[in-house]
Amino acid sequence: MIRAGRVLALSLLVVLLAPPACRDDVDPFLPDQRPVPGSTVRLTYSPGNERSPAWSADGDSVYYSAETFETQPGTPGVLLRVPRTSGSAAPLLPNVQGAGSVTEHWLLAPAPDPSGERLAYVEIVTTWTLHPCSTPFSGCNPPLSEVEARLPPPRRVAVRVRGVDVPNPTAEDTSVVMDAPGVRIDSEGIRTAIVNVYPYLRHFADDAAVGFRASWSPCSSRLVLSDGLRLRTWTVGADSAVTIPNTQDGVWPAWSPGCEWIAFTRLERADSTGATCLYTDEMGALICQQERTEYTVGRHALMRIRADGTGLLDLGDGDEPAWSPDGSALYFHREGRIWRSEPDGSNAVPVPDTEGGHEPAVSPDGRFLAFTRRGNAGTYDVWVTTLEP
Amino acid sequence: MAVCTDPAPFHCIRRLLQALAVCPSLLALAATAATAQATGRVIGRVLDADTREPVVAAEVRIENTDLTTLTTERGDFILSSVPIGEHRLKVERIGYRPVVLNVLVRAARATRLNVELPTAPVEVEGIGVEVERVRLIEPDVIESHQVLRGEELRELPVDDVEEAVELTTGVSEGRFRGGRVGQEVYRIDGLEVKNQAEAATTGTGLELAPSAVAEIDVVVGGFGADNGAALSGVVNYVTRRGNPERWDGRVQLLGDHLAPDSYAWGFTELSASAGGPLRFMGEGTTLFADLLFQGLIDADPRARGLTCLRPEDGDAQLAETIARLRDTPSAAHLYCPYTSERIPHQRGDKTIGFLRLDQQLGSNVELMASFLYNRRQLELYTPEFKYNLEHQLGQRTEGFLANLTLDWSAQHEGRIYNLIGRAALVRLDRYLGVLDPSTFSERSRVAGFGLSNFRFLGEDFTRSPIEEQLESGAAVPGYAIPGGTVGSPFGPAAEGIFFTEGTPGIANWNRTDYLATDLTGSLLSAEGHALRAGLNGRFYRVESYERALGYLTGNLPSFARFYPTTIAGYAEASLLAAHDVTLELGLRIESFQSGISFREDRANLLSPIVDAEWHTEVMPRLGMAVPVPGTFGRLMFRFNYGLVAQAPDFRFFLDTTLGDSLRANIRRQGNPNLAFERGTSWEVGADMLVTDRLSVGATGYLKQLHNLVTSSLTFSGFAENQFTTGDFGTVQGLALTVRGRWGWIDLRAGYTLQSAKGVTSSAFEDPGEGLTERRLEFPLAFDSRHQFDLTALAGRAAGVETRWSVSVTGAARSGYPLNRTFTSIEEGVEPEVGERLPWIGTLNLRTSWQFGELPLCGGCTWRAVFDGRNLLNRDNIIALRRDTGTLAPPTAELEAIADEIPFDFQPIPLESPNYSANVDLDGSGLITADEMRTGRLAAALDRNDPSLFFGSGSAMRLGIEVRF
Repeated sequence: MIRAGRVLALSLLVVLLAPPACRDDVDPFLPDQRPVPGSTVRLTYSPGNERSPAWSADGDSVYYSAETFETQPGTPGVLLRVPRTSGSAAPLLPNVQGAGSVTEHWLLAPAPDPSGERLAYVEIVTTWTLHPCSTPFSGCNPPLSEVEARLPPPRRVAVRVRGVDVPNPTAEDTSVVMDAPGVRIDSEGIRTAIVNVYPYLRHFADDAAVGFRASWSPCSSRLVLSDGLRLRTWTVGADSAVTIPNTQDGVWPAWSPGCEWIAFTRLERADSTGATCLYTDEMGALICQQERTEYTVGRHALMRIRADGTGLLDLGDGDEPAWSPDGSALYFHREGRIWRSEPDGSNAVPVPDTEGGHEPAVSPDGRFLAFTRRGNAGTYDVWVTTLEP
Repeated sequence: MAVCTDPAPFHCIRRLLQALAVCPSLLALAATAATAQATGRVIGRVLDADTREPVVAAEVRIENTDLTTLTTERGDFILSSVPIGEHRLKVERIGYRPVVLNVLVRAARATRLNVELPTAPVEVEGIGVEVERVRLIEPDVIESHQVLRGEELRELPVDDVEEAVELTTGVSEGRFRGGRVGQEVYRIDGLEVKNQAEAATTGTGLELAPSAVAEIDVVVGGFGADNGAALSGVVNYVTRRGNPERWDGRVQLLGDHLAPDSYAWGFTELSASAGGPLRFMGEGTTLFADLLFQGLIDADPRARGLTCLRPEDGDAQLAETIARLRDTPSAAHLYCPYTSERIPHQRGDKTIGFLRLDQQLGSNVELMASFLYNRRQLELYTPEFKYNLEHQLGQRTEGFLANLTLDWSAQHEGRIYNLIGRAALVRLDRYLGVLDPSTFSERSRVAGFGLSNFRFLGEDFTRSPIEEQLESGAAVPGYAIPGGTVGSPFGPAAEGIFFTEGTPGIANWNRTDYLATDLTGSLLSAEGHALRAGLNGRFYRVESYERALGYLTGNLPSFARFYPTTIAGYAEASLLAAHDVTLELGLRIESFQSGISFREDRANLLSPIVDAEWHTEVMPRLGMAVPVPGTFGRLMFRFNYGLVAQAPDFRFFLDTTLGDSLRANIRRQGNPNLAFERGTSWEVGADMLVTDRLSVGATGYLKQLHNLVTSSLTFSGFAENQFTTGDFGTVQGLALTVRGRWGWIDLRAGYTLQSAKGVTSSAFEDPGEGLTERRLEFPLAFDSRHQFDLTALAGRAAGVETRWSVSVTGAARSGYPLNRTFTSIEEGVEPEVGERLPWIGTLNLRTSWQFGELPLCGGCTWRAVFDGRNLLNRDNIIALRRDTGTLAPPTAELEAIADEIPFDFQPIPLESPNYSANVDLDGSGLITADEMRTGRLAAALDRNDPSLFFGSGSAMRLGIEVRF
């Protein structure tokens, strides 16, 4: 008995002291986890505007453009991607807008094609100087504030297409370049800037709204875009874009998944006001002048048309249309929130949790809706909400 | 009975021997194969118990051996080549009652004893006399020393032999009687093995496992002329040899995995040793092998573990700051976010392998060959990298020692002639650098131990030819600039405070190879006189590589390869004079040369290149041991005087960084022409045997040290920031010891009162404030006023055959000076120490129970072992900040770090890769400047965690030991 007891005691001791590491290495500190989002998630918080959300082909990320980002602190437009469930944003074009990039590019409105292999985007290639004349002496009739007297920014705008993850500079992308309508300089005699602040320019300046945005045709290698005053279609690689008739003042185009229709917003002009600014030198001699017409925006009409310009249909009030992936529904901004309707604009219902929402974009699987919303700081942020089945 | 009347006693003995030639118990040398390094001598005198006259021709023999001799006309006898350990010595002579004594024979030493034979007209049974295993008083020994036998060592709660050396009175934290670490020398089986390249900063280099040691003799004062390369002490290790009779051994497994968290370091140790005869190689040939493996999850555990600053650790302002942080609900989580019982990034392991072969080559010649291998590797916790998951600093030290010793001995006419020749090859290699992350992710480990070496980033590169490295100018492969804004609890607020990305910058390795040769001759007489002389040489090849900012391209390393040489010779006479007074006179001459050619004036490219000079030192040594007449050896006095010297660490020949300056890449200028560090040592002591079981001793000592290596001196005549031997110091003290043995308990205790002073500047610390040209001494940084130590062994640990065994060790020491600034520069005003660190105390216990025979293993016995460290669970504080005298930096310094926010700081949004929810205190999705400031303050607090300011933590281990 005693012997058996010793055997048992020894065996227990050996088992208890068995070398396989009973003590593990000291646990390292694990970095903090980001908060688990609910059904409606705010993805961006930066002080600047984040606009033009679009979905990656796999639906896991939301693309958007941001005013400034850490890698490009002074750039007014940076294309970024952020996980749908919230997380760290990263440049879409790291070779162009990543850390260490020297040249600044003002890039807006990312639009991946349905396959996800190509990316279309808008670049503000050149801008007007803020003042038409370099003199501090001015007089405007009627008086205009300094802000109002400035020229609107876009001068030449390009819509570009590149393969995802290619390293070449933007200048090598397949592009169509347009003059942004609104400013004309007449240099014969006294330098004169003829400025028409069209509704799209008003939105661009006040809201960072990108009416130029391009939308892919699901059926061909074509895009529909706006130059601010009309819609155009562009076959990728062609030298120029073709105007779609009956689309004056059309912005925010969206090509339907069935390829037949193009939804867009017509910013109808309401009143206009004119002013003339005279700029003199220190001796009082006139050196240049600005003839300025400001258009106020009337109705935001949600429209539908075919690519050849036929079948124009007024769908009611609405901005920034987007199609559901199956083409069975249309999402748009109306009365301060996002709405959903039939493709003909009927049976419109508000989308829950989208108060203050703009620029809807539906995920490829139809389950989520990305949109922008103005926050407390007065700037736009990107949000994602779950769509009810 | 033959009576010798020849006035020349040696001739007389010879005739006696011739007369007794047929007697098989004649004088003979040992037939057992025992080398001089595992053998000792027994010297003594046999007297008539009644008349106290010498007993001539008494037979003296070691039982169970062939060692036997006859006493001379003076009654003297000498036995050489006695295997170390306990023996029964029998003395008999017709007409007397035989006497049997238990004697302890120690390596390379002479055990002296006097035997009194009672007269007996008829044969009677012999008398057995118990002689103390280690003598409580040594009337013939001049030096101050303490001996620890191997059997005792293996019963003590120690992890390595260094901890055992610490138990000696006067030794504390590797400092021998107030000396700097590196002022002592180590010998293994008589061979001097000093890490001469960098002893002061990295220690011994080579170590033995406790299970491979037969004896440790720690000499703290009065070492003779045979010992050199030391200013403060000598540690003699004698290794074990195989049992010539049969194979035996021991296996022990010890670990703390079952202990509660606060008592576990993740320690596992497996040690195994075995030894026995190799009869196929000749009678008496033995082999001994020993292996030790230690796996460590936390190789340098501290009492508080990974801790943080507490309100009471600093000033009142710190307490307020911490309270403010803790009392803010949204910020409370930023205080002390990462603590642990064990400190992270301190994984490591240790391997020691030892092999020893002893063989009799002839009747008088012994061969001993031994091989020792060390490897110790561990991560190095660095606070600013504690949140870096990939890259940590680590260090690997490897050592090899191959030793060949030939020992010739002859005994003739009452004299022993001995000649020992040794040759050894030694390699010490140390690598300090950034660990390859695969070291732990891909390397197999069991209980923290891995067989393969640590891998370091860029090691192949840093060890490549220096010319290629200089030409490429490349950064060390794998190294990256430290930085990072995520990964710590403080997210972007910790930028510049913690480095969660990148690597440390240090890459540093040192390799020392040397050939050591010794030749020692000695002559001993039965009267107790001895003459010794020896020569030794060390021929080095030293390579040193240092690169401080390895992640920077163009940052050049510092490299040197040079061939120093040290040679020494000595002669020493030990005389036993009247009244058993022992006199030792010795002379030692040492020389060294750095082997470096250098430009005479470094600032002048046209100055000539000269070779480093030979430096020579002559060191007389004098000692006396005087038993007080009439006390029968129960009271004795000691006196010794000597000049001591050692060559400076070779690293001071080179431009090198030290301590914290390594991280800042501040190099101090090397000096290839450094001279010896020197000292003069006096010692006076007395020992008294109070009872047969209790002895007390008192020793006063004074050491004056000159020419100590230093840098940063601003005295005129020295190049600023260059190493030179201009430091000096004085150590004086009084050591009291108590030694007792009562049956089953053995007690040793000691107290040292000591003062160690030196100049304010040194090679190892900043000069402090108030430095002037006056050569004034301050208390040295390691000046500990009071030291207590205690060792108690009971039961089996004390050598008594019991099932149980208990050993307790304890130590307490007063604190080192915290600051040593001038309080006045007036003449005659002594500099003061403002504050001292608090006292440090530890209590360790080891106990075991023997269960008896092990089932399924014939002849095996086993026992369970419990080992407890720092059982009082004392949070010993071993360092404080000099600027505040507390564990914490000035709160203003923390606030200044918190305020380091760019004036153009932009709030960090949630989608930024730099965002951390921990610092977004209001959960708004934006980290504002105020939140950054709070985060930086918390990060600065965390960065200054005082984890490393504490001594070792408590530990409890369980184990089993099997002997066969």
